Amino acid sequence: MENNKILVIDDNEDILFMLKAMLQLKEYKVFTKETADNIESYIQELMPDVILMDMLLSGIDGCEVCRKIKSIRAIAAIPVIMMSALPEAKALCVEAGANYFVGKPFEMADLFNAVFIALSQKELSEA
Amino acid sequence: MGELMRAKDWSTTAVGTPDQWPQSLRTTLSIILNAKFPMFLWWGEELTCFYNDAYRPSLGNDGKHPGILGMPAEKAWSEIWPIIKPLIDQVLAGGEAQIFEDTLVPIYRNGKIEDVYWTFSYSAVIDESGKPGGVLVNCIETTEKILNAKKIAHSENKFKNLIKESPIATAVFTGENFVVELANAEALKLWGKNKNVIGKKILEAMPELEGQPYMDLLKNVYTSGETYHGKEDFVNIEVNGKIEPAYVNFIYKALRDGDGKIYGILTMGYNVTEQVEARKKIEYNEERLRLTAETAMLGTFDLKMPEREFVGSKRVYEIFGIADTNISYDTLFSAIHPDDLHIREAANKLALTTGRIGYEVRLIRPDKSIRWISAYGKVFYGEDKNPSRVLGTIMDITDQKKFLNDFQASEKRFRNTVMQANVGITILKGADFFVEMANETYLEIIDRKEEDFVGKPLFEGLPEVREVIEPLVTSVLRTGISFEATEFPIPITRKGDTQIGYFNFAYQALRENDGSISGIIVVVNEITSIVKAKHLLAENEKEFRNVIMQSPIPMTILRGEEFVMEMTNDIMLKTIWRRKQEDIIGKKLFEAYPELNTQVYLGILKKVFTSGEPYKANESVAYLEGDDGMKKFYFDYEYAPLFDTDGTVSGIMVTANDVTEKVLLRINIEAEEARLRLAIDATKLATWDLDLQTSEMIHSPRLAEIFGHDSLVLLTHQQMRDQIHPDDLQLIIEKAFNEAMQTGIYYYQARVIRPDKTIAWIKTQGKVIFENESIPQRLIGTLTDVTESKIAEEKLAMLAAIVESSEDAIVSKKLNGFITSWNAGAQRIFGYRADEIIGEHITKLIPADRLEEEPKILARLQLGERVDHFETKRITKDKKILDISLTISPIKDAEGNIIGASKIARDITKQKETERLVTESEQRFKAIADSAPVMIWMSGTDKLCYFFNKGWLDFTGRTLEQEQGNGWAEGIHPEDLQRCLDIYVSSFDERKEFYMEYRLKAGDGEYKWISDKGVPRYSIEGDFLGYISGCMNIDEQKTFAEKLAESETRFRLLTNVMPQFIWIADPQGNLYYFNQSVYQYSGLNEREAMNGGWLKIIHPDDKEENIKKWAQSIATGEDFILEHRFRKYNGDYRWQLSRAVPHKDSSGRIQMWIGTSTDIHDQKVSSEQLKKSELLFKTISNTSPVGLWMTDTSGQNSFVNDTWIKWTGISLEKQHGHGWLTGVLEEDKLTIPSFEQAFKRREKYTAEFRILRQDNEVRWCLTEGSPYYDISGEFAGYAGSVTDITEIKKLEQQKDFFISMASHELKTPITSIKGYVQILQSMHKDSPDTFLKTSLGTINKQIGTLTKLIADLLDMSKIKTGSLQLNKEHFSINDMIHETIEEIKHAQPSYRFFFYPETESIVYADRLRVAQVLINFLTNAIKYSPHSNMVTVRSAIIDNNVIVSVIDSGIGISKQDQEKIFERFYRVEGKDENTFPGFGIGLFIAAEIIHRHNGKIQVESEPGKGSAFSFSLPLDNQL
Repeated sequence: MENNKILVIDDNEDILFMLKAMLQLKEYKVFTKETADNIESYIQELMPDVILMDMLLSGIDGCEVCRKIKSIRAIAAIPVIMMSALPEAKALCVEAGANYFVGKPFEMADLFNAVFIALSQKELSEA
Repeated sequence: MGELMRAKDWSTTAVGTPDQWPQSLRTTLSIILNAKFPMFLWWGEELTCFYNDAYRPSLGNDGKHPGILGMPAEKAWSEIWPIIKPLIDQVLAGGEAQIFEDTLVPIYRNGKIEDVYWTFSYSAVIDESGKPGGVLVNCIETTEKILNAKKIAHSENKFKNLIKESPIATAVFTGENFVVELANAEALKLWGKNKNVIGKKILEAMPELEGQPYMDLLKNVYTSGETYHGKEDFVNIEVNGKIEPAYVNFIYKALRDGDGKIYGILTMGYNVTEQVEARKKIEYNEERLRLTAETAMLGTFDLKMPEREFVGSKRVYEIFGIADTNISYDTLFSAIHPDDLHIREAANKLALTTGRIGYEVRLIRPDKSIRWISAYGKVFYGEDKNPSRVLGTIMDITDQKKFLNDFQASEKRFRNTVMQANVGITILKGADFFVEMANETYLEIIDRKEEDFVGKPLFEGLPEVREVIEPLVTSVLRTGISFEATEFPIPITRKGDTQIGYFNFAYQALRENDGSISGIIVVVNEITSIVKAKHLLAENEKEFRNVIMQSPIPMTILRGEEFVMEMTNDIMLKTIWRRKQEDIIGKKLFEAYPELNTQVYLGILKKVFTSGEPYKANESVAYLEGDDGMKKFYFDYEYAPLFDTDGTVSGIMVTANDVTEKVLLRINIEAEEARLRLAIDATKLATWDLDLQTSEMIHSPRLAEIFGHDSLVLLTHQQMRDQIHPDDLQLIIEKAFNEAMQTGIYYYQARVIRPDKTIAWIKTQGKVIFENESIPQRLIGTLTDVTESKIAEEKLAMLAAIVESSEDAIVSKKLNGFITSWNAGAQRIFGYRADEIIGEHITKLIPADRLEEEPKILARLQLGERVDHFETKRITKDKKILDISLTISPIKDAEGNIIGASKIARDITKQKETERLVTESEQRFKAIADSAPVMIWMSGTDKLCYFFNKGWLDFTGRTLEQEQGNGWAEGIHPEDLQRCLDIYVSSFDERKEFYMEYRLKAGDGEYKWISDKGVPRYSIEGDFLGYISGCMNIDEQKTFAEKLAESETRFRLLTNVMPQFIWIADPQGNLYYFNQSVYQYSGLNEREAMNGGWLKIIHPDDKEENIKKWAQSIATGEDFILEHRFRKYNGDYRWQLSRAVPHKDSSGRIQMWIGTSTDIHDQKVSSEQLKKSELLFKTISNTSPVGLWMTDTSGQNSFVNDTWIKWTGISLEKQHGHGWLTGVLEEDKLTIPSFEQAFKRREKYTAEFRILRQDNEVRWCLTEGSPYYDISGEFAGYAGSVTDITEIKKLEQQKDFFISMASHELKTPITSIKGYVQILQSMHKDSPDTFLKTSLGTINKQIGTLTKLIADLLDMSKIKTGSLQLNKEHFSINDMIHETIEEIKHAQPSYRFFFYPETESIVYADRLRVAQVLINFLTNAIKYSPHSNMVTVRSAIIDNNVIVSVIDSGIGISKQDQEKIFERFYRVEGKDENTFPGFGIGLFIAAEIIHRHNGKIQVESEPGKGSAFSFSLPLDNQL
């Protein structure tokens, strides 16, 4: 599963950098974005294998972004893992179509598990 | 004639050939032939005939000319020979010339013997022998003159006959002095004169007219020629030497001679005195009846039974709410409420035995309103013993009924609202505040039982409030001034515990009817929970604030209205403020950074401060002056209000993120994009792309706009389809789609319904993209808004249709006159087909003599004028001339230039023709006959009627054609017809006058009595010509007597039927009439009552006022209204409402007083009680701080109190039914639970919703309502209350928001720290540096503790504010225990766990929360067992509950501590408390979680030996 492309979106620069470092431990190719501006076209171009996204993005609700991704046929199949430090966020993310949810703060192992499962699922669906 | 004479062969005549003629003959003939007058000559022995050119016409055509020239006279004039022979002989015998004027000498001409009149002379012509040789005839034919004279005489005769025989007074006055020319017997009778007056001047004949207005009228008619009609004019007439007043109907009409000059006046008139007087008397009677009924507010009716003929007074129809008084009896009474029909039936049945009918029922009026009526009547029976007539009264008694209902309802309402409202209500009486009543809510609030509280002094039952409350209630009782308080703290002992409760309450003085204060009404609303919640919020805020200040997010706290910078965290200071802390802390923000004053932030901060609503914005621009100079920033920031304990905003928390770099980058990208979008938007074309497999749709923003949305909205294919007009979806779109699937081309025009309900027309063009050339894959296309052109198209089509379907010819032409359009109407009228005429010049339709019209019309059109209804003639294709009415309007082009004309032509030929015929008809006689105020008809010798005057036709409402012949007979009442025919025919045959009376159908369909007097007509010659007859409407006369008697009877009957007392007084105030009710009630007889006896039955206390008021009314003429008591025959007094109104004559003089008295005793008595109860209810309901409402038994809202009205600003009337919903927000109307459902089941109803208050504030409301039952236990409606819960709602929202944001802010930095630590751990897991590894482990563990702490804090807040949510699911408890133990084992590898599951059991619970409890138990067990490494877990099922226990052998808990261990912040404090760190809230949360699951939590422990913590959960029985 190495070299899989993971797109991380979080408006907190520190967390974004941390996630990048963390995921690089597993030798994933990590792409980061701080905002959701033009994110659909970016995703369509990049075609990542997994999207990891915070729910509270500056300027837009992450759930809206997720909904949009899931409404575009070309990229709807990309698993989306959503993260949030907000209590009760999980239900909102699942409702918006997120495939997985990781609460902040998280155990590194939990994040890896989520990414691993998401990738497996994607491979399975493409097989 | 000369030629004829010369050509004639004279040889065979007696005079021989001309050369043999004597000179005298020759001379005479020469004179004759040259004369211009008709001349004839007989000559010689045979009297040979000669005549000249002028004579010829008299011989007519086809007669004697030219045969008699030269013929002997006897042969030529054989038909008149016996007449003229003696005349000729006389002249020839030497007699004098003979002259005859206008003499009838019938001759043969024109193929028959004709009556010809002549004026002629016979004179002798002397021949050479000196003797008469011949006879010369000079003659003029005067036939025409004579005939005309005869006609005139005939008409005059007809006219005079009419006057003479007229059944009405008729006279003719001639000349300026009005000489009485003619006067028939009736006229003389009316005047009271004899025939001597004829020939005299009017003023000589009738000197009494001097000074009366009639002379002026006559003069006026004589000079102006205008006819005068007098109706019921008052006149003084001398009858038998006495001048008496009389009423007449009459007419003055000018008579004109042949030149149109007025020479006299025709007058016709008749005495209507008797009628007028009879009618006045009836009117008086009717008026008396009407006034009586009006005074008593009654409607009266008269019902004739077998035919169900109903006559009702105006008020009857008013009561029934019906405007049409022609409605039938059955229709009128079909308004009776179906549920009440049996009441009327029973009353009808009873009436059969008593003869009286009386019932009270409900009506449903056309406007659906319900009215109560009472009907009383007397039944009359016909000879067949069946009811023949009912006379009666109808009264609207809704108010009385309503009054009684209201009274009962008010009592009920009071009891129910007060007892059931969820505000506490109690009534305190007297100086010791004796508790008269207290409702359930009140008792709940104070936690007392009714028997311990009600019926005792207040402070005996509620001693703990005395200190606070006594001064307040004492003051209210003394001063009567209400006291209201909000959030007032009062100590209350409940469940044995005295605590401060918070209340909104009002003390209102309870006043008696006399205004004295007898007690206090207390209305209380408890708001302890709200106040406590407020306090809690402030507390929460404090707990979090310190933590937040440490956060890595830039934050500042501003305090107060001046926004003093109270605190700011380091990161904010460094990145944004860029000054030293001591330079800015304690300073006002806008003084420290004056440049902010000109930026948006001050306004936003103020708004947040006043509204208490947080504000968030991204990428806002700010300029800030720091130590390093002015800097421009882009911020994402948030202003969160900080609340004080009292709920007011005291400060604002600012969080801000500098996003300048990011924004600058993005602005560049956006500029690029904007350029691209502009290019697309430049065209108004929308584009779209539909995936036919998935129905996914992509479209340009313009499409959303066309569909009526913001351009940013993305519509799905389904959403678009939903907006298509339903009529177009199948017919147009699906059809187009199916075609597209065949052809590949997609095209349609259809309607779209925009969200604002407007219709837009769209045009779509698209193309199907096929895969493998067969499977349609995508549909792409464009879409445009074609609404405007579509509307224009529709308009055009409609106009065209109108033109084509018009009956009129509609033609348009150019200004040069060439026809450009031609409709079907034009073809019908003019005969040309469009293709024949278009392009032709308009003059083709114009007759030659009217060609000059066209340029005139064109000139007017060029000025932009219209030509309206211009009547002219036009010519058709087959050269027929038509009368045409033209309307021509200019046609303008888009710039307003006139480019042509449209012409509407209507064929009015027939109309014109008729007009001409009318003008041609005989005028003079008709005019006189028509203007006569009587009806006239004439018949011919064949008995058939051929003439009816206007008076007759106006009366019957028929046309002359309908009446002619025997048509008139259709109008005669069938019962009268045969009799009339007999009289007419027998009189006719004997040529006798006749008089008859019969009923004739008038134009309104009703038969009226008519008198008909006919006389035979004769010509001057005495020939019988037929009959002429004059008729008069005598219906009123005929029925007056009848009516008079009836109206008298009706008055007596009705007044006696009325339940009210009716009395009538003379203008001096003496009562002289009473109806039967008065006698029955009082026991007085008629004599006693009349002689002032009625005064005796008035209650002594009321007598004085009664006399005073009555005297006052008599003196002033004002209505008399008084409430007083009358004594009944049995000595009881009952309250009556008396009312009397004066009846005045036309001069305004009072003629009588009509009075009524109505029994109002029950109302009066109960109204006293009602006033009291109403007052109490009103005071309570309007004092109430909550809204109160009630419904009726159908669930319709029937009452709301002032508080609710004040909130909504909607009046009580408008709240009725479902009107109360008006104020509720639309979106909430959809979500509130159905009241109807709860209502049907008679269940308690609870709902939360928002209303838009009249002050434009949106408020949250909680309504609670329950059914209530009346005294008899019958369901009577719902009563409920509405509480304003906005503050609670707001607090809840604020709390939730604050908690979640705070935890988010706390967790965010932890996330990054934890992440980095774990990365480091992972990177160094094989490192030999043990210190590094241990340190990282410790950090990670501490972060774990911190995370747990935050989670606990969060849970705590949720529990305290009641917002802890449970996400329940079905799961196996044993599985959950296994997993949890595994998790703990992982962190505590040195511990051993023993799990003894008993039975597999499924619960319905929040799995994570229950696991949280177990983790708490397990970690506690480990924490408090420092000397053990074993923990036991058990699960068991007892009484349908699963019980999970965690048993340790640790330090244990003392009995005393065991009681408090589940409380907040409680920690077992051992000697070395530092050993056991933690907040002490874990068990509190655990207990709360279990309680929320309806479970139990408990501990068993012995210090030193260990503890067993356990919880139980109910088993899920549904699996």
